[in-house]
Amino acid sequence: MLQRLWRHLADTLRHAYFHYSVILCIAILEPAERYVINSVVIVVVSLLVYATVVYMPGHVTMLCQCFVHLTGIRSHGDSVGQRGTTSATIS
Amino acid sequence: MATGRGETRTSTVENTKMSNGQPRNYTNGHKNGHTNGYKNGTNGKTNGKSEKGGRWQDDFEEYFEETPYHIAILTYLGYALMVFIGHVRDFLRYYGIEQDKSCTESNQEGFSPLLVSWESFYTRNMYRHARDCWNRPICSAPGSTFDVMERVSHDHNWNLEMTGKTLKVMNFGSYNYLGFAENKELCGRDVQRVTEKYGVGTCASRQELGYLDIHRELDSLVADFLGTEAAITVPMGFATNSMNMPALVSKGCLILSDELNHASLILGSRLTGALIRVYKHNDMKDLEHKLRDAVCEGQPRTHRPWKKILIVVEGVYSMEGSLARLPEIVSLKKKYKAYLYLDEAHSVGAMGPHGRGVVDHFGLDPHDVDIMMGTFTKSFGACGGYIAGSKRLIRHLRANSHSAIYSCSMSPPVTQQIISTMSCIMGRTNPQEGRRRIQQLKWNTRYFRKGLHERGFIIYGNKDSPVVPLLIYMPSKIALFSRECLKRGLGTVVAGFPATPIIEARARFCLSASHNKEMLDKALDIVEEVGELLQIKYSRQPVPRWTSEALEPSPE
Repeated sequence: MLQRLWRHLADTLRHAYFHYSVILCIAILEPAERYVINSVVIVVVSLLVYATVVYMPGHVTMLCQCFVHLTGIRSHGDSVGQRGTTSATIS
Repeated sequence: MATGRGETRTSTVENTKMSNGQPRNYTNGHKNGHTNGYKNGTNGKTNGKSEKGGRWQDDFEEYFEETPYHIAILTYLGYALMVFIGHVRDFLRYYGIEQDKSCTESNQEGFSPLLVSWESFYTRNMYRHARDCWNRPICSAPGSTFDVMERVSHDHNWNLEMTGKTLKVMNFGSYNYLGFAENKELCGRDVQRVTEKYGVGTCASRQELGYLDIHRELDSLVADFLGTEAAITVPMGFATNSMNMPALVSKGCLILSDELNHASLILGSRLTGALIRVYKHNDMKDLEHKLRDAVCEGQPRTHRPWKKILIVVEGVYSMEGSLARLPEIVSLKKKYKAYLYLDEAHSVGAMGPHGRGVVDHFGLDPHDVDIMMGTFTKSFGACGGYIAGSKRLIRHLRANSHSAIYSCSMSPPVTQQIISTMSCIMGRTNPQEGRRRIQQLKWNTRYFRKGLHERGFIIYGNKDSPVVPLLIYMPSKIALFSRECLKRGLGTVVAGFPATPIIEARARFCLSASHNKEMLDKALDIVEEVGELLQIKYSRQPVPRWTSEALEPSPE
């Protein structure tokens, strides 16, 4: 069962890599060129992922706060007695 | 249908107006040819034909599906990446970090370099990766199957080596439309007999001692076949265009050329010295606009009327598989008193119920086309070309054309091959064979096109054109398509930039009467399999209407 799943996964990955290499035209390039392009792609993608993981949560929080600040000034007073959650207050 | 009639009627009215209003142009037309001689007769005929023209338009179906946006973007991205890598490699080669294996020239001081251009960059860095897909050597007659010599490369396609092995594959790449490119059957014996009688070379040009009796026979046979007054034959198809056009038009004339005309027509047009204006492919509005401008404004600066106006079109366009809209072109040419040069290289033999090309296909009068040109390299399985037209035109060409004066005349076995095949198509020898081949080709074309449409590929061209372009778009898919098809036993032609626009790279299948249904099915299966592998089933349009019509059983 596990073996079959593993084979299926490997097939899917091989298929995906084949399409990636065909679309980027690296399927017909020399191995060295392919290596370089793959490295560049990996670096760029990992940087993007890193940036997403590190900066995205903070950024989203900041945006939310900004949103709350813009829309929630009036509703702040209403919610004092009710002790409602922020999201409920905003809506 | 109604529009068709309306147009013709307007054109008749315009005809009379024009001949009264612009006598100078009219005289010129009269001086140079026979159009006016036929004027009354042809106008009468046109009115009759225009009703048929309506039916023609009903049956005229061409497909040019637009490139999907995401495919276009990805294609550009792929090219951009390849160009970038190419520049990096060139940089490395320039500083000697990497060995330069391409054609280079020694650094001569003060000389401008010969090989620094986009073309050489393209060849070195992009074309090279897929070099094995072109110039494949074959070692058999190009019949329905042929032997391809296997090649390998040990240094990333810089050099290709023969392994000595051959692959037997189905031939979907040769222009062997009627299947006459054979070495044994039918014509082989006649050709052998003629070779024994005359030898292979004539060693003289037509005007000297190279004019054999079989050349004369061929000339009159071609004229009979096409229904024209006379014809002249030329030993090379490409030269038929490029060497004869300069004898027809000169400086002070205007050539209106379709944008997708073949290189031989472009070269011929340039050699004439006439001004060339290009109109959009098969766009009759654009053609009429340019014709009207030309007639109204005359030559640039002087505004004298043009000496002659020549419209240059092809019958079947070899890269698009489209047909010239000949009935409309003929009515335009009559309206504006221009001459028509029709290149039937791909259509003669392959189109029309009698195999006489697009003129036959549309049921037009051959006299409506002033200069009919065609080649023997395709349907007739030989080489060379012809020009057919009025007697005066052919006499003029015999005396003035470069190909008649300077080039060695056609080789006798080739001449005999054309005579034999043409007699066969005309039903003079082997009465049923020619007709059977024409019907088989037509059936094959419909069947194969239908199969590809139903499988979801983007196919260009007219439903009756035996040239079937299959759009692939991406450069890597082109190379892989060619290789994978060859591996599975299907030999075909792929074409990319610069033969096509950069994002419209394609594979091209040429059908033949020598294919049978099993071969077509096998080929369709192979294309299907490779198409699945490479994901080139891009079509989002519904399958064309005509494919739902039931095909008659194969006429084998």
